[in-house]
Amino acid sequence: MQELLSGVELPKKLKSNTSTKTIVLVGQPNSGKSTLFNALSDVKVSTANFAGTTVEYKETHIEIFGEQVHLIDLPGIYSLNPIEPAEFVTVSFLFENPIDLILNVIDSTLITKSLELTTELLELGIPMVVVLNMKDEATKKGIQIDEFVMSKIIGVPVVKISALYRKGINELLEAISLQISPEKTYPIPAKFTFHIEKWINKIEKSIIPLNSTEFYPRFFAIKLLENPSLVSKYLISFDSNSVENAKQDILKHHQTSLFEAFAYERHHFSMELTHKTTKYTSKRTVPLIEKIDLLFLKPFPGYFFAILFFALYFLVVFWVGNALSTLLEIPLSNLGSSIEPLKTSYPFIWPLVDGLFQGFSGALGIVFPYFLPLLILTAVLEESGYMARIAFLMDAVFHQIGLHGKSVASFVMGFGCTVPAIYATRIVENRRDRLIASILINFIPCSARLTVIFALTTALTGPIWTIVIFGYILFAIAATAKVLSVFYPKPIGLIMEVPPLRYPSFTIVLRKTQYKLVEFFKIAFPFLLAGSVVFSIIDYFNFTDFLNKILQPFITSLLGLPQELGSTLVFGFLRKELAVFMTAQAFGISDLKLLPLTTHQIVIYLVFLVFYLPCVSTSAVLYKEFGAKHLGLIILVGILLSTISALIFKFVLTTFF
Amino acid sequence: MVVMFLTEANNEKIVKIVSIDTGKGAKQRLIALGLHPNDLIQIVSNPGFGPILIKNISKNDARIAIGRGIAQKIKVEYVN
Repeated sequence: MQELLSGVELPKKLKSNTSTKTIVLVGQPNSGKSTLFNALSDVKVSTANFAGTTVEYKETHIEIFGEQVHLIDLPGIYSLNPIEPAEFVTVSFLFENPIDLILNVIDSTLITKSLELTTELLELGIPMVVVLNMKDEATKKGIQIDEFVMSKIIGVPVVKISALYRKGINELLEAISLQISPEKTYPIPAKFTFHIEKWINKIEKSIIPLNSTEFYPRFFAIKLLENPSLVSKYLISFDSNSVENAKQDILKHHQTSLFEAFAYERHHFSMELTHKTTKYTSKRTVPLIEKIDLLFLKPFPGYFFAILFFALYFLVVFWVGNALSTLLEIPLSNLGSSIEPLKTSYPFIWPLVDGLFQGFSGALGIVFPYFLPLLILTAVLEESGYMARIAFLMDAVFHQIGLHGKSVASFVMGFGCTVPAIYATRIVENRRDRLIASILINFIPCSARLTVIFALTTALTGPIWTIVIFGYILFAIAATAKVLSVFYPKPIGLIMEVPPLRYPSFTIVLRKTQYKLVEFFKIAFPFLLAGSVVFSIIDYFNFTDFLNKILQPFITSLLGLPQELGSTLVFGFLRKELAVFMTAQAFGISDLKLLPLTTHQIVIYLVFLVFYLPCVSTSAVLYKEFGAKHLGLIILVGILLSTISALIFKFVLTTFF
Repeated sequence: MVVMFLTEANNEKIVKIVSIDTGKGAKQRLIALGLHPNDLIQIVSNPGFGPILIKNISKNDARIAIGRGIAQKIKVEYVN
């Protein structure tokens, strides 16, 4: 439930406090950065937003041997030459904030690949500690890394740890403590071939940076050569003639662009670094988990498992949600009857009390039970790496509707909350794909809408209709995608790392669930209460009748629904789950089972509710990401799709059933 | 050695990357993921439709999924 959090801008620049040292975690995706962050921090973690953006990072203040440090977990990057919008954010953070220490987290089992980023980080000239994470897995795979030799070559401490099993954390803390003390050591960057070095040295001397910076001038010289647009805004002046001459010269000697020349040089350095430090002991045997993994990755039986998995996913949410909801019903209805006397004794404040109670019991009794299992299962899906398998398999399917598999993760996230799902499309490089993915994500029932679907179908129609509604939603999304790809042709290709399949860590899954739950109670919960109070007061002054009357032609005449549902749709725009307990409130009943609606009406209402409008926070995010014009387009597509869908259902249901 | 496109390489074969002839963006991404010319890669899954899954033997078996459109612009050759 990050909807509100992300809707609010929290521009924030790091305060440069001389006594508190700033330490950032930098690493490639899936290197175990967040696991290490959790291992180092206690529970006092806060999420914040990057200045001017809404990409989140986690931060905390901890004490290391008496020294106060500010620890920041930056989103994963593959390179300091960013491509995706999210990577740009991490890289600019590194450029724009005073940083005392970089913790470069590496997945030891992928050491050769990971050292290419390390090679780039060495060029920055900021004190570093290289953290070889997942040391046990590496040993199991027969990878032996000599951290002391590596440390000698690159000039900074190298520590082997297992963040998950909390091994080597003390050694790491000692290394950190050394690197933030006056005895700290600076990295020794890679030396390139003579032709390139000659130009770096020349340009380096001419650089005048905008702010006094901790970086080596060498870093700016390198970046001016390989990726000038990235750094030129941080410089007052530099020798632009030399940059131009260097381009010509290197093209002549290496027959490549400067960008590729540097990539090749770093590749060479990191390969050599691995050769000098890493031995492969055991012969390569394919571990069991990789054999199992193939079953998930090959189209047969991969698709079969994917379908099975999703069926299970929704069944578990359904069952657990239903059970929890039943469990909470008794204490909540007891609470309800205990405040009942207030209605007669204090009629003036009754709307307020009643609204608060309705909001409270709705959030706790209807939303929370379905939200909790969804959170846990989504965390498992992400942590195990199975999400990437689904993305890989679905690429072939997604290609048909003009998208590629990379968007799958954001689609799955859409089942949790639309807002972070739209942010997650930032891993898609191309704007056209992002826009289409975002339009479609809107139509994926988020946990709020799932709650409404589950709550109403469980109470009134039975699971068959849940499946029918889901089937239709998927069909409608695919059909919309197909139509959109006529207007926006040219899908681009997929390039995606597939991280190893791992047993999901119990603690990490719990942590992730906990973060999201705390967010829910801190941010969404008050909103639900307030919405409910407002509804109650509006109801008290008979304003709902007014809303219902306005919407009556549409709701009753066109869709064949009772007019009381009109106002619930207005509240559904604020938060989708408000719609469900507003329906209860609108009809003045306490138990959804008593709703005076036929099965047909419930189904039509749900189909309409899922598509009709993005909720208010989603609208805000879409506006920020794509502008007013595209938000208008998205709303238009939504209203069209929801009305058409509701009419189709009305027609089919009344004709054939 | 016969040079072919990555899309034509068979399951489980080990091939060497001869050249990457994609656009700049895709090339930059492939490089960032550790894929370079002369790297040895193994075809994990090439079902004939959809993306191809490869494993970069030169880089600790890091696994990368490559869409067919891009794979058609990568030249490889079999090694034994």
